[in-house]
Amino acid sequence: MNYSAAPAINFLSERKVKFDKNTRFAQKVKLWSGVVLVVYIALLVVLVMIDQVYAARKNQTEKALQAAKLELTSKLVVIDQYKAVVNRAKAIKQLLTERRSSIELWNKVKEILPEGTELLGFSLEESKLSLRFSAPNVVVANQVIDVVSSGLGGIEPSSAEVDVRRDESASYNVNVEATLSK
Amino acid sequence: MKSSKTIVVKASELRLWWFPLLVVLVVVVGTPLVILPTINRIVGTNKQLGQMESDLRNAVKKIDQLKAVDEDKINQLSLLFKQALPAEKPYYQALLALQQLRNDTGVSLGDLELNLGLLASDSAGVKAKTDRGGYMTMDTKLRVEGTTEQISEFVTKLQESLPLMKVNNISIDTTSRVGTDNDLRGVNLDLQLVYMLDPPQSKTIGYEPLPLLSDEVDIVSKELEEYFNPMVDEAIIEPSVTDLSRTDIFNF
Repeated sequence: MNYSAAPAINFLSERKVKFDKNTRFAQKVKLWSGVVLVVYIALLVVLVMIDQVYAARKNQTEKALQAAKLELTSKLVVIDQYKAVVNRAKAIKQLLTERRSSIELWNKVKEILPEGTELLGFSLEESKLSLRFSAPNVVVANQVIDVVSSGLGGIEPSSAEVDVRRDESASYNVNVEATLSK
Repeated sequence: MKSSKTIVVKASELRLWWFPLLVVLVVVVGTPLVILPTINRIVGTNKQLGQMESDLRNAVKKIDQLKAVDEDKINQLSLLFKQALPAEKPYYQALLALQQLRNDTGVSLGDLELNLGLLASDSAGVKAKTDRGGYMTMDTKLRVEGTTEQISEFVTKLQESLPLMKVNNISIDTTSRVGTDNDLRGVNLDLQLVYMLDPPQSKTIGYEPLPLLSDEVDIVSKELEEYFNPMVDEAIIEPSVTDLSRTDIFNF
């Protein structure tokens, strides 16, 4: 027997292989766990930073908005007055436009009346124009009818109806119902 | 002996796995308790911030607009527009204008139906119609007597006076020639008094920009300035107290 030789011990036993394998796996798991933890903490830090940045911006914007609100509140009377002026101006413009067509028609009708004719009635409701004339004789009555049928001196109704009647004083009453094109 | 071996094995396994288990625990507990609320808070803050920044931009724009507003001009326009289109039922203003026009043209006025109501509260109940222009109209009737020229002048001037009135119908009554003078005519006018209530005063601040004061406002104001305004030219009217209980308030 050779006692100087080392004893032949099998270090690479099956259990050792298994142990080493488990250890390496555990190391890997630890490593990956560490990575996950670092990433997780980094994500948390980033989120907290973003949260802080947003909170700071919100605070800053809130202060600026509060200051703007205060300035606007001091001008509330002017704002209301300004808005009222704009609304009233719109309403007046609409009213003037409606009235203008009525005034223009009134002046136009007075212009185109033949000599001897008397205007007895004038009404304008939306686009419906009603006129009532009195003519002393049939010649003037015919002139009125001519004026109406030739387009009321440039007023150009889309349709017109003329009704002539003779009254007790032997003069002619001419009624005109015209629809004006818009 | 076997159980002590198991304990040794479990202890060694625990030594190997405590850290991954701790990480899993941190992730599982930390996600619903810290991460998700933080994300929700960031999303919420971001949304609020977006709205606030938008409000701030609009508010700054509105402040800049207000700095450019000429308050004196707005005051003048407001006064003129309220004389043209009063903020309440314009009985007094209409009477004043009609009285002055009567003096100017020489016509006689009567039978004015103002629907005042017997009590002050009745007049508030007189029905008014809202027109598409946003203003209210009240139908009234007025009888005018005078020569054809006087009546024509009256109607023309009436349409160039403040407060603004609409003449809807002019009806000349041939059978009621007044007096002995054949030139005199009696005319029934269907008038509409117009007014526009002021909107209620704002209680909260809106950040929406002011509507633009267009050139049309200047055109309208220039046109109105040329109209006869009894509220401004009141000094030229003979001083009188209008007694509404009289039958014919236009004859003194």
